[in-house]
Amino acid sequence: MNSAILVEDLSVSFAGQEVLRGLNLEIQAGGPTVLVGRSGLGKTTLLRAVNRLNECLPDCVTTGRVRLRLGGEWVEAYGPATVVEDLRKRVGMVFQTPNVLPVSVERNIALPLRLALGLSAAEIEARQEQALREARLWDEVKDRLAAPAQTLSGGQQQRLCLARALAFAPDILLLDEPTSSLDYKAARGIEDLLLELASRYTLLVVSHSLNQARRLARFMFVLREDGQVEAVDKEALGDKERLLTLMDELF
Amino acid sequence: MPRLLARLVERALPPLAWAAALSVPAAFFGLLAFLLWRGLPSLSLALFFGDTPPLAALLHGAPVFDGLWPACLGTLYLVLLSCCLAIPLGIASGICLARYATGRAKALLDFCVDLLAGIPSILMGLFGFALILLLRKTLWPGANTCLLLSALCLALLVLPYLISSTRSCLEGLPPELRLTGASLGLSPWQITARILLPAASQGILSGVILAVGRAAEDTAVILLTGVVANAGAPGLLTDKYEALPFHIYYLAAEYQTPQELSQAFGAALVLLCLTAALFAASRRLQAGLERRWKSGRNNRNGSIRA
Repeated sequence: MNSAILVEDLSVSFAGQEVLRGLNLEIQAGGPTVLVGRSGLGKTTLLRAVNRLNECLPDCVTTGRVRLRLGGEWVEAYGPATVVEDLRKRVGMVFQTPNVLPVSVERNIALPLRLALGLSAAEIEARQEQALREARLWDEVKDRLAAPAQTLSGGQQQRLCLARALAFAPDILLLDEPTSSLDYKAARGIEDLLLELASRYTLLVVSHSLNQARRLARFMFVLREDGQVEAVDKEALGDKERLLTLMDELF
Repeated sequence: MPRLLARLVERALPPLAWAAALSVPAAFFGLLAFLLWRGLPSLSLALFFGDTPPLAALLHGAPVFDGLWPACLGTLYLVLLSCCLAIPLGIASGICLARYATGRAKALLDFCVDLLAGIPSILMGLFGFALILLLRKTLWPGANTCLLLSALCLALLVLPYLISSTRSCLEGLPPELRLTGASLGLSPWQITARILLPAASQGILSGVILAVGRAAEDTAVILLTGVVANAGAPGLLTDKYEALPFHIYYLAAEYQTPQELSQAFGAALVLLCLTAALFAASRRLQAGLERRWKSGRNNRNGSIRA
């Protein structure tokens, strides 16, 4: 098997309140791997444990081990030698609601690239266009790159966020319910895009919709009430009735 | 009957609210009209430069004895100097309160800022005066009240405005902005300096405007720390100087002729214009910085700066 993320005995708590306890998980390269589960069980926390974003929230304590394969090498996410900023540059993230920066469309990609990677203006411009094309947004925004990003529609903003993450050329992409704030059509657009991207990136997607999970998942995990994850086997993924029965048991 | 009363209140509320809101511009324009009426007739080159030829004063620094010019320069230097001292310190303290301080340290710092905001300006002047007395007796026998001392005390006076506005603006930003910056691999300093501060710049500007206005108009602080009626244009930071608010105060308190009183109104008008010009300059600076941040371009059709 070709793993990309290994989670061992991961526990995360906020202000003494335990969200995840002793969790083990192995995520394959490519994917998409979809993580489903009832809301409030810690799907987002698990996702943010991978790029260590939980640390930016108050009173968070994380124990356990997370290993990521970045550029062909295994990296200890919580190792003392790991620089968290470097890790996050290699592990892109798309949030639940489109979180564009309050700047222009092009600057949304250019500013992080310049600050985090220190790229030259020419390199930034090239990556910008490539990322926007990859996120299938280029044709819609190429004439309004200087417009404020907030003037784009919700679906466009979410694709801009995706493009911003892709511009970093990450190894892993974390997507936290990326379509939950979008209408049906825009959501389907993003799903098609994710299926396409899975050939080039490792995708870990959190979803609250079983239908979406069925459309997207090559691998599926269910986060259970007790803070453990359970893999959904391959046959169940293809069989709708079986999947629904399984979900009824687990949810 | 109570229902009738309730309806009456409902009816009366909007016009009352409007009346209250309109009283502000009414007061402002009333004041402005009065100032223009009394001050405008006295406005002339002679008001600024007295008997000295204006060009000689502007280009060669010829001394001006009977005009506002040295006081204009004094106030301008004073405001710029105190802002140079207070703005970096105020913004840095605001960042500290909003981003780093927690728990008891934050409560204590908060309390100190409130306390500083509540100190009357005459007390700040007295502090400056006492400081000079102390310096004279100890480290620096030649110390005297001067432009630098006034600027220092004024900086202390306006510091709370800057701290509060920076802090409340940073805290008012959506928390996702910080998380977004972090998820993109930016360092905490990059997030603060390149994402949060620019996003909050408009609110910080309102603090700067308050500070500029306060520094330009305050008389009590400078009264005890170095302003005099006749010092000429300010030369060194350790010199005495003239300032517009003090000039107005002095003329209004001790005028001998109606002309001198109308000179005071002229000076008040000049002070108003000077302050408005400083506001406009800071607004332009902020707008320019914000546009550059948002577009990555130096001007509307300039090259990409990334």
